[in-house]
Amino acid sequence: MINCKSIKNLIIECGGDLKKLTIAKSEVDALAAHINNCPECSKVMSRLSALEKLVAEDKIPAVPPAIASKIMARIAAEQNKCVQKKVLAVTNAEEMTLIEKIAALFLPKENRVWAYSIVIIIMAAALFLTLTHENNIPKENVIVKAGDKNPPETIDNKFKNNQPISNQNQNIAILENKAGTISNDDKKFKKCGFIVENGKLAAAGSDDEYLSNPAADLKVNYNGLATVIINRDSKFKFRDSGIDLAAGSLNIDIFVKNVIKFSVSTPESLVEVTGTKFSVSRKNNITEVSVQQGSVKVTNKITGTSEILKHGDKKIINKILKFQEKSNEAQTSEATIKNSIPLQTAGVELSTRKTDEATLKTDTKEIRNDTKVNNLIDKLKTNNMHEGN
Amino acid sequence: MEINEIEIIKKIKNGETSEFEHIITKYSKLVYSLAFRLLRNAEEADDLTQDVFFRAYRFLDKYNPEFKMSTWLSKITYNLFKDRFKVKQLNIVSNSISSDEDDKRNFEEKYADTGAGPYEKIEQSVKSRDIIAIINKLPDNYRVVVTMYFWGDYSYEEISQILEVPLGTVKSRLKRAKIYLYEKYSRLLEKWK
Repeated sequence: MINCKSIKNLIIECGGDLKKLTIAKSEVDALAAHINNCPECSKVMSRLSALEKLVAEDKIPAVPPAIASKIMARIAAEQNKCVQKKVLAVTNAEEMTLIEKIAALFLPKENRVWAYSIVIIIMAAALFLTLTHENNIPKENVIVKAGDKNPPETIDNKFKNNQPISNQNQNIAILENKAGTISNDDKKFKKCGFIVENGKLAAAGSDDEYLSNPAADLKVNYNGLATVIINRDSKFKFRDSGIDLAAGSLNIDIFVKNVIKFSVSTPESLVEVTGTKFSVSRKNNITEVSVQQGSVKVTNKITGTSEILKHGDKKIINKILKFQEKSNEAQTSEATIKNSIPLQTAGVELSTRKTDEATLKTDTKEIRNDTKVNNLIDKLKTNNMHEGN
Repeated sequence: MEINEIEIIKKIKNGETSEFEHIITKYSKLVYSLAFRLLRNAEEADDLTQDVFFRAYRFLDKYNPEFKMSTWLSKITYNLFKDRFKVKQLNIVSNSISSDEDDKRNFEEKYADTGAGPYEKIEQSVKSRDIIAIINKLPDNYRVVVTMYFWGDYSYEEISQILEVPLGTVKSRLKRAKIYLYEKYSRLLEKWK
């Protein structure tokens, strides 16, 4: 049953036009009859009609007459801009470098900055790798030992000259000491990881110290990771992860970079592997370290200072100087040492200005004359003792 | 869509930009009216109308001829209005009640159009303004539907397409808005007595 309230909603819904209602025509007729007879529903109908009239009364200003021309002007301006962009793009394309043209083919403009950055980084990395590789190329470095009168021998030749183990079976594992021949299977060797590949060695006395053959170099292998050539007439001791060198010289070639822990110790210095190929010699209380490839860390045992030696570097550590400095420490002030006159003899320069480490920085060629070095050391010794007195 | 209109669009797409003026001439009143009803500001309606046609030109390739051009343009109008409304919401609220200048213009136009005497016209204008004020105070969802229904002469389906809401939503919003308006109008009648 339809009541006046629901009729009111229907009238409002259709806006007073009953034909708009989705109901049967008979129902529309019945509704119209009710509205005509019902004052309340008639009132709704008339109010709604008046309301729609009032809404329709609201008129808007006329469309601005110039609106079409304004829009067309904007469109024309837009087209010109597009044409200019295209012309600019063509011009730019002509001015582009080859790299830019290649980048333009593959990348949108906004990504090209990244592409350029990546290319620059790759080029820089390539340059860096090239330079690094050049530094790693083994060079014929001269091993210079104090007192050597023979022409210098390259470290690489030294390694080559030692024949492989297979050809030297008869020489392998011969250890001579006062007590007799000792096998290379000596537990002391195994424990330390050293195997004699070529040459002979003899026990030097107590405390597991050995002497290499005065007639030939000794070649030893350390755990398959390094080859050590102990030059003739050297006095040394094997220990875990290294060799203690008392006298003579040795050359070390490390196969595995950055993995092996290996060091050579002399009374004055501790030479630790951080790179690959280097040599250490000790004579007359002077330890000389030279690096042919890679780098090593050298610690002055007297002063405790360390430094990294790189490819081509050489370091001499003199025990006597330090000893004398130490012995005169109570009487000789640092200022006195600083003020002492640097000694220069026949191209060899010794400087005592650095009191923290009595290192002698000498040119490779200059130190060849062992006599001169010894004389120089004697002079310095006398000078310092005199100042101390 | 008229055959003539299809031809015009083809020409425009082929580079005959000047043909677009025919589209503007034909639909500028519709777009401007809707813009004005939504914004209640002649200057902003002018700007919006320009933007609508400019956008229509740029995206003419996306126009689907299955739909009426008027519906597509109205949709662009509504979308641009929405974008502006987010930014200028406060401004629109302040303009929802017509300015004095608008009132004057409206009055002059009404006076010129009808044959009623000056007193009746002023009274009618005041009543009309009150009703429009009520419509403008409706929540935006309802106001847009009412605007399109009363002044845009759009069908429910078209409103549904323009606003991208279901047909039932359009109908229910319109019904609620009409009942609300009727109640408000009834109260105004008491006030006007």
